[in-house]
Amino acid sequence: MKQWKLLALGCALLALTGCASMDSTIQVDSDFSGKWEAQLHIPESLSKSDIESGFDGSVSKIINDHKHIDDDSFEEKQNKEKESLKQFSAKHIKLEAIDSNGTVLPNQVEARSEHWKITASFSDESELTNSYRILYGAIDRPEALHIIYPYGEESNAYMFNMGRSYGTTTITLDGDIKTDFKTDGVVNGNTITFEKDKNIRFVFLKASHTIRNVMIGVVIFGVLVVAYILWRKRG
Amino acid sequence: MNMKKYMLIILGVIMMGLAFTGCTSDTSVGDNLDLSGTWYHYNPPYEDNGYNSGVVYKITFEKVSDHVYKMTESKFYMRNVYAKHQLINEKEYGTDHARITALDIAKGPNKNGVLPIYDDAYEWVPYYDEIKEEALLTVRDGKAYDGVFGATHTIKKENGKLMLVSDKDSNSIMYKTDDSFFTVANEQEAANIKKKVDIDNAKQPNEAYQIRNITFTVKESDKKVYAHSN
Repeated sequence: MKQWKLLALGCALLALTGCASMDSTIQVDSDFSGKWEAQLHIPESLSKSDIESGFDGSVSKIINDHKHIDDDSFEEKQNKEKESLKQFSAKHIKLEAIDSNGTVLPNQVEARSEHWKITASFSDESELTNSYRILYGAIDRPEALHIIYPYGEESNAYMFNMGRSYGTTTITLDGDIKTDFKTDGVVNGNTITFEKDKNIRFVFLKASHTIRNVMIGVVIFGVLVVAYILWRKRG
Repeated sequence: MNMKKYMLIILGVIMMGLAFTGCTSDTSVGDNLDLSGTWYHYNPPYEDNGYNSGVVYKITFEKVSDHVYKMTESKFYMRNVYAKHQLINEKEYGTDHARITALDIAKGPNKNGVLPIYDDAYEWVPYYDEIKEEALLTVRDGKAYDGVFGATHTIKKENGKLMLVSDKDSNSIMYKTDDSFFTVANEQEAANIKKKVDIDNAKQPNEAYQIRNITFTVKESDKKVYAHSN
């Protein structure tokens, strides 16, 4: 067990060891808010505290930057970022022990399991990136500053980039996935699926909702004009 | 009904509608600037490296379309390990000093407490990054987005010179310029070498030495050396 705990500490939720896997379903809306649900499968039963220590280790590992000569604020910046990620993890990421059928086990404090359900919510792109950095460790890509970022000439075109998939990863977006961009994923409508170890990287066009917004604008315009006319008549 | 008031209401609602639909212009200052050309960045040495060299990055972008640039070359320069050290106080320090290190310079005070003082000469040696996949830079709303890692930079202009300031670290800046950038990089690298010597001297007074002047030359070659060649 100690050995496993050490692995967890150094290996970002064990998924990086290759002997564990994490299947994910990620839903992203047009404002880049959404939800990330994942099932972590590890080859040996662990308790919640073991897994959480992995979180802490993961956070330390992903901020393992180097200090430039004479950078006096280095430690302060590092500690601030670690604390920020830990607080984000506590607020937005939920961890539950489940059985092989996906049923949540009773007494989560003492439960030990090979199967774990992770749920993360995010309200914008930066929170999605935080979730990714914590769940994926981001060791392969220390410069992973963004998961979603503008890409190409079209003003609503974005790159979605998470690097190597730690399990089957299904991403559903409010928009259109560009099929002319070469990707490892299998596209089905606005959903794209990547098998384990494939490179999660694709381009999509964010839904614009222009017609809906024009309709809202027209309705507001009508209401304002009617209200003004009524107000003038009463006066 | 006053026609002028109606017109103002209509104008206000149209503006609100445009804001809703996102039809307002998303072009900011940075979007109109030409980012094609050569960009330079100096990265100071790390404290925990065995060999403490700063790095000068030189990246070339070519314009593809209004908001997109393609990286056509990426290279970086590192200071060569074997500097030429010239002992300038040989008379006071002496030549028969026993402390000879792997890099063949004498360190530490002599019997009279005199430290060796050197003039150092370094070369910046270039290494190329192999561009295996298309590396695009997308410009939108005054920011530049690296297509490979998603690194984000704010486009700024200072004293007529274009800069890309990293959103992660505001001290990390790329400048659109030419090889004259090495003058700035040389000054910073020299200062950092001296700082490192001070740190090392404080840790190991018996190995202490001083540096008076540091000079640099850029070593270019027709043969490209790749940083991660297979």
